[in-house]
Amino acid sequence: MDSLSVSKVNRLFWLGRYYERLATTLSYLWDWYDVMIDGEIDYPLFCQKLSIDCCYKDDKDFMHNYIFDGTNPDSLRTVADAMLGNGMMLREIIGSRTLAYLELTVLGMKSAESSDSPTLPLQRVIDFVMAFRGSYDDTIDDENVRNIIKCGAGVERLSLYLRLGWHLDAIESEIGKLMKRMNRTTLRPSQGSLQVLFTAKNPKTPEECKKLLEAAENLFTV
Amino acid sequence: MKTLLAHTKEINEQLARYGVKFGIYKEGRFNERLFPFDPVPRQIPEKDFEVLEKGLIQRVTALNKFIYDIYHDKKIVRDNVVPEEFVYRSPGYLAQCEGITPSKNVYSHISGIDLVIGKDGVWYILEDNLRIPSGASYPLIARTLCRRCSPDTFKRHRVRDNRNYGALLKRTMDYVNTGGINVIFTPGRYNAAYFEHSYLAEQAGAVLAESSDLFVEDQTLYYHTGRDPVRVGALYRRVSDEYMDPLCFEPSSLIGIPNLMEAYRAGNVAVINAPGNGVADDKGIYYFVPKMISYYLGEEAILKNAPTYLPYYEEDRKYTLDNIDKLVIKDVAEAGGYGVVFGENLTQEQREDLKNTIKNAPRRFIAQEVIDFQDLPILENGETVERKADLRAFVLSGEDVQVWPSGLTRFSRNPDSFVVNSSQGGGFKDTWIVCQ
Repeated sequence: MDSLSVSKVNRLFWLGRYYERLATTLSYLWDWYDVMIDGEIDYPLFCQKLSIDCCYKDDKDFMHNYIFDGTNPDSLRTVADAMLGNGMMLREIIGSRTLAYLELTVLGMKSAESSDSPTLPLQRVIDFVMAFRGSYDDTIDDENVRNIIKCGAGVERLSLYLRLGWHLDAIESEIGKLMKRMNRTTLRPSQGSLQVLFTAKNPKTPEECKKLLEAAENLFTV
Repeated sequence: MKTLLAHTKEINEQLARYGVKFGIYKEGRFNERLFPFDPVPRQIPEKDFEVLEKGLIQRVTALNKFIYDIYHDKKIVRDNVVPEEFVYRSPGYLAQCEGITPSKNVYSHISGIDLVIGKDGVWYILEDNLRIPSGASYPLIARTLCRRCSPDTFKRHRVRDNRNYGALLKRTMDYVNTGGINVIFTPGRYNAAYFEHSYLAEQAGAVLAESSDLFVEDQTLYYHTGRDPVRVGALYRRVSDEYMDPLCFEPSSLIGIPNLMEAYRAGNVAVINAPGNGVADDKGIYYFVPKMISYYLGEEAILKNAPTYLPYYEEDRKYTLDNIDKLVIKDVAEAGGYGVVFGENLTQEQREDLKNTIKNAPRRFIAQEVIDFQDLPILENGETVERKADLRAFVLSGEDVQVWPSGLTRFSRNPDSFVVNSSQGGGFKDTWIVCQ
């Protein structure tokens, strides 16, 4: 069927946001984990950047609970569950084979929790998310569907880069990709946000990051 | 079979990969669990299946005629074959469905008939499920995954293919479709059978929708899209009758579609299964099904009911009260394995309480002889043990009535229990129809 319900569009978009949030944040945390080997990490700053509650006792508690605690609304495990939840409600659109990679991602998170060295099993989690990306891109015929998911992922990537101040030299290129994908969907962007993003350069200052972040977050009202 | 068993671990990993789960509410919390799967299949020889097939087609044909009759002429009541008390006091009877004829006159499009096989080799019908019987998706996906994990097993055994269920469902929906798309209507992600809803939508090429995706205008059901609304011609609803339309049934329902019954009544949408079917799968009505077969079809029932007594009749009530310790007593208003009491498990005091309840509300109960049914082998911690099991056969009624050549075999994981329901910890097996 050519037409998607509003709720399906919403789920496709958020599916994209959640898988990107999981994969990008895990990749970012790897660098932090490396720093932690030699000393303390500044996890309150991380929480501040992402505007999440800083409810952790110490570095160790942060690294474990921020990743694995399914009862913590900010944790990556919660993100993975939300990603799977959206995927489950889209089975007839994305297909069982593609959905299976989301199941594997959550199973991977569960099995990594008990590991002494979670970075290795978490590598598999990122691998499953990447397999999901490849699978949906390859198997979903409907260009609109594929690109709505990609728009969600694109907005999330911009949002994380701008919040974390990470890969700021790639912002212009990421905006370019997002614009191309958006034009292949039925999504209706906010004209104000579009104007800001369309003329954007790689940001140099926190103020520029903030302005772009606001535009990215408000680009679609889904 | 050894090759299949050698792949048990891989099969279970595949089931987890595909999220073959069911949900359960316990203490107000929703939990999802993998549905325990036993790789040893139930095997039914093709010639035995042919008898089952004929019996099931006969039974469902009669049940469809009964539902039509109840909501139209009521001849079977007038002719005193079924007492009117059993019809109009049944919680499944819906006065709102009086006079409505569904598309192509089909009421029970997907019927789930529960059977057991006795130690005497005779199949007995335990229950008819004509509202929203679930379970077909589990053996359907299990077969695919078992074939993938152990192809040699399927080279050696000639098993009838069951992977056409999605096509059969689509054919059934297409036949009654009044013009528009096919939709599977789910109460949502936190329903016990959500896996099934989404999997069947994929397999049948239907749209999976929740109440917020659907609306009625000018007695026509539409699917909400960002552009123009799309008309719905067939709605396979997985929502109970009482919650389906808040303007017609339970007004507090948040999972229904307002005015759906108006569209249905106008003949503008096929609702699968038809609302009001519960009148025919009531545990009290079960007793009368062999009589219905004789009344509507002029035939003897091919498949037997479990020996059943209705305390409503004085003679049966006396027998039930005198023999309560060897009978199973079922509350007709309960489902899912709840409200089932084995007399032998009760204390003297509990037995007396139950007798008094039966005397005060005889219409509320049926009593059945405990069938000594065949146990099936189950693999448990690497060992084979015997457990009670039933079979849910799926009968699809469209242009013709067809029995799916497979079924859901459910088993009890508790060695002392006859209750096989997934909601009570039971597991499932594939069901093979084995060719000679």
